[in-house]
Amino acid sequence: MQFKLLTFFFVFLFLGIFVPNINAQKMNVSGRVFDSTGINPIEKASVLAVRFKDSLLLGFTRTDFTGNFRLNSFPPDSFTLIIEYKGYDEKSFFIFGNNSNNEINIPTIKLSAKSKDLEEIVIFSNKSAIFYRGDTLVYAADSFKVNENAVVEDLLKKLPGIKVDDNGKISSQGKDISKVLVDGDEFFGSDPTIATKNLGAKGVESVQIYEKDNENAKAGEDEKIQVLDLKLKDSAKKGYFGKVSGASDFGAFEETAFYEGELLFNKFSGKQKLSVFLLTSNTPKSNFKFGDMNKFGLENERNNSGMSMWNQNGQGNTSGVPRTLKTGIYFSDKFGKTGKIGFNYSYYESKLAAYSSSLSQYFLADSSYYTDDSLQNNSINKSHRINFNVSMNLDSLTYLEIKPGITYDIATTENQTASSFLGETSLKSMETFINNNNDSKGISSNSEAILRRKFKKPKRELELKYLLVASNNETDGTLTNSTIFYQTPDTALINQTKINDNSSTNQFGIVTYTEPLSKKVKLQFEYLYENGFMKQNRKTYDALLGGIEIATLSNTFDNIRQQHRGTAVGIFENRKHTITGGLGFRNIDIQNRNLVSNITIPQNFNNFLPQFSYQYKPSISKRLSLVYTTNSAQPSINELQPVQDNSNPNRIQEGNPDLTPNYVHMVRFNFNTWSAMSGKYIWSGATASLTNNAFANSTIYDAFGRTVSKTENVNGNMFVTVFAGAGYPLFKRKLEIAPNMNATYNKYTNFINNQENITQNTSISGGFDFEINFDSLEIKVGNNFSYTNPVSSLSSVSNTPFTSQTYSFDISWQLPFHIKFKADADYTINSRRAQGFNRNIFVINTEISKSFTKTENFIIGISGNDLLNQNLNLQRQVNGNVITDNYTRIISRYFLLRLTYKFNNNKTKEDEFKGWH
Amino acid sequence: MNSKVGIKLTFFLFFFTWFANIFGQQVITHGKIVFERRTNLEKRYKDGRMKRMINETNKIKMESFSFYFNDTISVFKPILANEEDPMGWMTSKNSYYQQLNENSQLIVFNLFGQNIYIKDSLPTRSWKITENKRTICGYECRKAIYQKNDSTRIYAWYSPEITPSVGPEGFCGLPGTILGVATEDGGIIYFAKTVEISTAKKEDLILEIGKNKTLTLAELKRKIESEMSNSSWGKGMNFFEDLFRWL
Repeated sequence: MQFKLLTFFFVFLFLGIFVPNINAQKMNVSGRVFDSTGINPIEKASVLAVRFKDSLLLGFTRTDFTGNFRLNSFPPDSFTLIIEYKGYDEKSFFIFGNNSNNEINIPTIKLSAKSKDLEEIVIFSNKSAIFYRGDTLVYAADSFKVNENAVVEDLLKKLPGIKVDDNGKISSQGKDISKVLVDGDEFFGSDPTIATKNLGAKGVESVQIYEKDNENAKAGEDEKIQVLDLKLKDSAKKGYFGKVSGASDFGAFEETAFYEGELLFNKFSGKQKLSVFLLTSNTPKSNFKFGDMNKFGLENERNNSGMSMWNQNGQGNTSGVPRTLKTGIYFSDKFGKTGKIGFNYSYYESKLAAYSSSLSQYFLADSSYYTDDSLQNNSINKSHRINFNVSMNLDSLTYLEIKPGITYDIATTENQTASSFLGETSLKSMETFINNNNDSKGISSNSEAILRRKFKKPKRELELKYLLVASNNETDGTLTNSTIFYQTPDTALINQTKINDNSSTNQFGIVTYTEPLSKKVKLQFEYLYENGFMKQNRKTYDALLGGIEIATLSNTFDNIRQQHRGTAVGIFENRKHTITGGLGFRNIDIQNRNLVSNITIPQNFNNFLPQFSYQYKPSISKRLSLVYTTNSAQPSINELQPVQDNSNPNRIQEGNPDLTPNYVHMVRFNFNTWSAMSGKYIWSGATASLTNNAFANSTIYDAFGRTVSKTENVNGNMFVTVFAGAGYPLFKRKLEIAPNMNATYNKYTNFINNQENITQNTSISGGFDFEINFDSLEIKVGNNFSYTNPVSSLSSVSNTPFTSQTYSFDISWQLPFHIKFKADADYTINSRRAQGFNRNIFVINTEISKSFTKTENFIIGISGNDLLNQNLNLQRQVNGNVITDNYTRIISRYFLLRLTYKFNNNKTKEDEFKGWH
Repeated sequence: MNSKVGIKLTFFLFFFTWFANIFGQQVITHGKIVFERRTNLEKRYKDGRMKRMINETNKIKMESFSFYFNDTISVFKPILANEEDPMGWMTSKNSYYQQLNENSQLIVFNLFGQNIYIKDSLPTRSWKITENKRTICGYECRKAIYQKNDSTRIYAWYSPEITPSVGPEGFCGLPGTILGVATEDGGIIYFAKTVEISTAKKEDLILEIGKNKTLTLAELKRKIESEMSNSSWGKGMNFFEDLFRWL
């Protein structure tokens, strides 16, 4: 750095004394500072020693009250001695210190009163290739010849007046360039050389240099900074990245080959972004990885998958033997300053062949039944989904967002059920075969519009929201059923065709206004208006009797409702505590209309809906919250429609038009803490709910064990769960032990042959996880034990507790030569269940892969799923007086050879999304 | 010369010097400064996982700090906002107690709500002095540059008029109080908003840490680096720099 010297002295003092001891040498600079009179010493004047060669601050001091100073802390060097004091011109001395010239005394330093600096002004101009536009210096890039593969830096070196040093630092007319912009925006972060060393020179239209006020007055750089702005040709603002992956076993093990295919591609150009995706498989894999959905911006696919950052178990379909095809396109663009527009279309096609068998035990007050069912289900679901969204700031305080969405679904299902009914003595009393086929198609819409207005007063806010949820669905079906009775030998046949048309439109208008009363207190008012309409037209025709309508199985029913709800909530909020409390009042008017019998059931309810919450946050990593809410939900049209649904003639369902909305009290408690230094953490919580007017089944059994069920309102259903877990890292976090527990109590009422039956399920589960972490090796070992005790008040026979245990092992190992090995194993022990369902299952999955090329973007891998071929889907459900053990056939062992290729326009390594775990 | 005249003259000279110093007293030795910190989270975080949480509307984060100083002590503390904002965890909120005459500092690092106490000597940084000047809060400041490492350069603006060699976020060692600190890319910027000449209350200058354990910076760095990197989410993160020592 060159110092502007108003006055400077070269000080050569030859003391003429040879000093042999070199190591201990220090500079010793002293002097005395006076004002311009030379008489008045200046106290506290600043004295600096700044090294010549690199401007390094060697030392500094201040003058004492006599104006004297002494600097003696640094070794001999050549430096500038600067003396400055407010209101005076600074004075500089060039001192060439060395071992023989290290004692310097400047007896009188006079500072003169401040004079006005004249700033040097440089004006630069040239031929038409370089010109000024206002204050901006513009170089037309095409006028300067560069090599074919030159980058921007090569171009800059050719521009007159611009210098690029070895480190890529740029200066223009001798002044440093502080920022390199690309089309006025910063290019990938702070380092200007990323732009200059990576962008091709051919893409540059012009290079502009101008002084810029720092964008925000608060900014810390100099008030004016010199920037270099690269204006790109339109053709250069483009890029892409993507991934292609294909896997198969090529039919080596079974007749039909397993396959998985994946294509993800993202192309960006200016503000536009386009993503295309395709997934196809006949393995359980039915979703993209969570990270890929994020990376490629497939927002709606991510939301539909049910996966989140913390729960990514949604990649597989394990309810049968699936076949999946998903494809679609996402497009987004920006307009104006804040406008965003997005569009996406997705097509899903999923086929599922499910075979399952179940054994159910029905416990009545004085008897019990068994049924043995085997089910074969084939379904094809196709769906087209279109979503739009537009959002923009209308002005600095007003934000508008509109999100219409439409889905068109086509579904075909074929169900075959064979059931045997057995009495207490396991004697077969009845056997039935049911064939149920349905074709349905429907269109539905889920749309939203939000207008949010802020005000000059901070935190005052008004929000208007409109929601439309509408659907229209038509189903055509056939039902055939044959029943054989054994005790008094007989047979019965059913052959019916069915039409089921459903339509519903629900509109919500919500106005929310927030008014701050003080810094810590605000009031929030909400008004909700709901207008709902549901209609169901169900027709059943008897094919055996030439297609006449069966009046008992046909009906048309609708439900009209209007709801007004007002809520006022007070919110107190400071750094550690947040308390909210409020009360809602709603009136709902319902008309349940039977359009065939012309009977209307009017209902009108007024409810108070209180709410309360408290959150305590003593620090950012410690949180406690307690929330109490109330809400009320409507019964569905199927629960209301007063006609029998005999899709399964042995399990007939019937609606109840007198059902009223339920009312739920809910309390939630959470406590979490985490210590960042030690890595210890605890999470815990509890939830309890009490539901009145809950929707319950009332079931009537006939002599064979066949049922007719109807929905009724019941009070006092209860659900309580308590959970907790913790993590304790040991050995410098190389090992972590994480225990967890969960306890659940569930109490609900149903009716069996008009007798009240209260079921109380209690279950407790707990386990330990161990995690071992080395640089290239991660191992997780875990176990879990669960115990369930169902208690039913009507029959104590069903009160049989059952248990299950799981042990899991997980390893991921990065080996040399870019080889990666992964394996996981799960062992499940089921006990105390029905005979044949106490199966122990051991599933092992492995994968080994190797990446190739410099960028590691090409990966070959082999994976083996369920090496021991043991995978089963086994479930026990205890439902009132019924215990069902269910088995579903799913895909077990298969092997895949997988090729993956990741790419981008820069030909660099494409990183995978790293999760937080 | 008459000795009386000599005494008179000496007395006069002495008085004149004293008088001149009183009226010419243009330096500040103690006071309170409020710093404002502006963090551009987008520039601050290189990790893709962090970047995903940052958007146009939340990328700029403003925070305030109080700074008491005199000839020997300086105290830099965050002024906590009434409400914690959702991005609050993304920025450090450290306190620094500098003791110039003992060449020591007490740092309170706040790691996600947990306080970690550091006792160490004052840092020695190699400053480069420039001729570049700007005015902050009415004080003319000279720009100095500290090359932290190959990729990070930090600018500091200090005022020779405010004499203690202290500054915000533990910065010190310049011939005057630092009124502005910024990374070269503008990712993190501390600027003085107000400078007032006042004497701090004793309780503002002293921190009782009780029985809390203290570490040195080197010990903390070793601990963080050897332990955090063993957690699966911590692999590949530069913990010490990311969590504590931004600058």
